[in-house]
Amino acid sequence: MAAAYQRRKGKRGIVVEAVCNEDLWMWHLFVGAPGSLNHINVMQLSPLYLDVTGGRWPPRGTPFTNNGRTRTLPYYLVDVIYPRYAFLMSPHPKPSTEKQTTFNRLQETTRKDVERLFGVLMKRFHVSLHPGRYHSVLQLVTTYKAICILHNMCVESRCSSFLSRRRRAAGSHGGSNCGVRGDAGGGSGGSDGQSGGAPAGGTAAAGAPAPGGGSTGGVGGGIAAAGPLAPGGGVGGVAAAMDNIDPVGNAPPALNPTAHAPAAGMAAIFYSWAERQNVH
Amino acid sequence: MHNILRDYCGVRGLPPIYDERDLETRFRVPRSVFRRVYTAVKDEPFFQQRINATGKLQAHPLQKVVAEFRVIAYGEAADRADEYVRLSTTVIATSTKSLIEFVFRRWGPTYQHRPNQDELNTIMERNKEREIPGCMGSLDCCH
Repeated sequence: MAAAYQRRKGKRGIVVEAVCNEDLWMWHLFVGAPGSLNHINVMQLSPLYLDVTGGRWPPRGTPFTNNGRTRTLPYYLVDVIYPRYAFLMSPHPKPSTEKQTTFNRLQETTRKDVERLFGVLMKRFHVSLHPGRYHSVLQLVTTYKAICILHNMCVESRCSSFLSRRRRAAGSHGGSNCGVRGDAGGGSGGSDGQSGGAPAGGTAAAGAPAPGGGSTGGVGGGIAAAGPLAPGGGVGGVAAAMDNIDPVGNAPPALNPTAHAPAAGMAAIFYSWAERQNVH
Repeated sequence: MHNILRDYCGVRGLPPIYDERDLETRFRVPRSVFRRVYTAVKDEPFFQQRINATGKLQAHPLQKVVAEFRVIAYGEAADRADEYVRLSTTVIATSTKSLIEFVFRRWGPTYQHRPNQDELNTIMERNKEREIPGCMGSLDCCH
């Protein structure tokens, strides 16, 4: 029986599957799969997957628009070894074009949250580093769940001081938030694309009939949202979106060095926030 | 018991020896979370302070909670905290187990649930601001 719990590194252990958001708040936790299973086996055992395949999850109440196509099935970000299901968004396995590289970069910068979560959890509660201490697997599972509850409580009491929240609050207060501007740009680009029968959406759909189509659209939307931020770029949302879909014409703005305006904008917002903190 | 109060709460009007930062370093949770767990757990049957047959007071709940958080935070052996909180190995090991079960029972439904529609809207709105609309979160496994 112990052989089932043998991890690939040689020691015994169990597998933890988690879903978290930017604040490291854990929305889903599945503990207790034996350590010999890989990511895909664990996912097929987890109640999240069973609920998705059974149609009980996720709710379709929040439609979103990517690249002029409105969808209702939200998705989770995963890494490359997961199968390409409709509710999972994995990066391109072998990115060859510039567009795919950009997409992979954006996807990975967002998916790093869950990697951070595991790092924080292991470092915060060291009891999870000693799984062999317990008398039964059930006790180990209960311990891990309790640790995650404590972690969520810490996040709850701390989240107002997280940098992302502060940045967000500072942006909405100062009125120069890149998130808000990007949001508006993406929104207008999406609606125009819908009304005009956008070649952008057509390209994306033709390029990827698989669930990857949704992901490609995600990148287009992301770049389109970032487009109006580029200094000196007088193009509107629609034009920016079309330019991004056609990478031959010009490089996606997210790859231009000048188009890293969001970072500079965030720094400016942070400094303005810090100044305000000093004033009060 | 007196040491714990002196170090982390302050006695006789004196400030506590260790501040918030030290408390969080030792117990890995902020003081608000620590106090919340303590106030919830201190009236449980196992954690209440009892009087034994010879009329002596037994361990205070604060002693047990401090020892348990030490075990959870450092992953250390159960009798490692004996020198500080003056409890035996068995008491610390048993109370750690019951604290973990208590936390899971008491706060499991509150802190481990799927997002409802409002929370999902909030998540997706924030992810839209991060230029990745329609994303519910990141999923991964850890061995």
